[in-house]
Amino acid sequence: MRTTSFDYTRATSIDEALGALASGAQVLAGGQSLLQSMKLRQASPQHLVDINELDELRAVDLEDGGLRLGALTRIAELCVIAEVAAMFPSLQQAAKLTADVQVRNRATIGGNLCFANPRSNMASTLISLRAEVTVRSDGGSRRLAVEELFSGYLQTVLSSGDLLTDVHLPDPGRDARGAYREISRQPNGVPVVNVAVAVAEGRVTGIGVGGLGVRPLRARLVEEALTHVDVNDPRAVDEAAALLAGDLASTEPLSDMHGSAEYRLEAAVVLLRRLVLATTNERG
Amino acid sequence: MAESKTTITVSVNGTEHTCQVAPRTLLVDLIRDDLRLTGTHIGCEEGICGACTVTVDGELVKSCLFLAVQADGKDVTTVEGLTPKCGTSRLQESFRGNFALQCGFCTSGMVVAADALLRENPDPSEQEIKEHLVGNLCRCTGYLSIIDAVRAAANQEVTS
Repeated sequence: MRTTSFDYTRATSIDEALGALASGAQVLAGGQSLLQSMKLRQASPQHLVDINELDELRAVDLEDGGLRLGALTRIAELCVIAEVAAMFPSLQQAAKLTADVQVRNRATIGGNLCFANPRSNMASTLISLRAEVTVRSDGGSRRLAVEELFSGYLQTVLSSGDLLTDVHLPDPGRDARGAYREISRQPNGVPVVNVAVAVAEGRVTGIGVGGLGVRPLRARLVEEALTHVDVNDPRAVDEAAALLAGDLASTEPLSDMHGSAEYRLEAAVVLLRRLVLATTNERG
Repeated sequence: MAESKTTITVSVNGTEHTCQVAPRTLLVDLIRDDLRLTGTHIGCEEGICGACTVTVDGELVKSCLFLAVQADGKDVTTVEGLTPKCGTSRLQESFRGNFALQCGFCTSGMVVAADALLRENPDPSEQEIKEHLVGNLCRCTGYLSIIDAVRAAANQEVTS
């Protein structure tokens, strides 16, 4: 299989990359999704700007009690970075369940978000952690929440001149106990649905759900309901988890060969209930 | 219209090559078509089967999801690079001895991936081998003999 032909620029600075993007180029990060979709002619960019040599996009720094991850941080790195394991265990779990070692060695956190697959492990987990991204363009830079990044199926709100440069994970809080679970057809396959829950001091602080709608979503109604109930009471947690149907109203439901919309909702509610009970209770 | 080509210099199995490649040329095509190293196989060509697994600067990648131009200035190792001048490596011998191949199509990718595992972790558990090889598909063996082969090669490594 061949992609259509394209021009290639290996960027040596962020400014050079931004210049190419402003003149219509598209970003090549890890390429693990993009090259596949180009072979299938789902994407046919005329010009790719390769950002893989931009070391400034690979920095991992502590930041205000949280962590800043450069957009080029590979998924394989998320599996081994000590700060990720200690502060954001759900992100490490989600990374380890992503594809295989070959793909994880190339795939990047920024590329994964920009490809905007609603079934992405990273997206739902980062939403649960209330992560934000920095987006740069010729005109300057801006920051937005990961949950606001997605506009539709495989679509983001980014415009053609934009480059996602950093992912910011805020302070997870005291006694943080996030977790990630998924249902997939085969080990490490792209999940049919996935759920990530972030917890601090026994209270749920964020819930991200993937594979339910055409874009990953934050389960705000469930989060809100859980602040009012005793999370040790399985029936109360059940009732709160069932509100996920209402959260899905914020986007179009996803229904395809991997699972019907009805199945996905039911499976996501079950995962959500189990995760909340496991992360908020000492006995798990 | 002739496609514009870029000159790249890439080291493959320790030998430096200077090649002209179009941006859309995949690393696997450079390896097989231009360098005639046909040990690296093309199975699915969409990043699923792992038959095209090689290492770039020591990291396992699928060479069908890697552009040849991106290998400029890098060190690539294919299955040929893991094979001694005479005979076979201990891991390859273990694949043979444990009947870990039938048609052999997946084997080069399996060997490259398993070799990388043993370098990183000389004594992997069965679970670690399974997790490491999840990106390499085999349609003949049912995988059990492959896991045995990697375990046996590791045991020899550890006891020798």
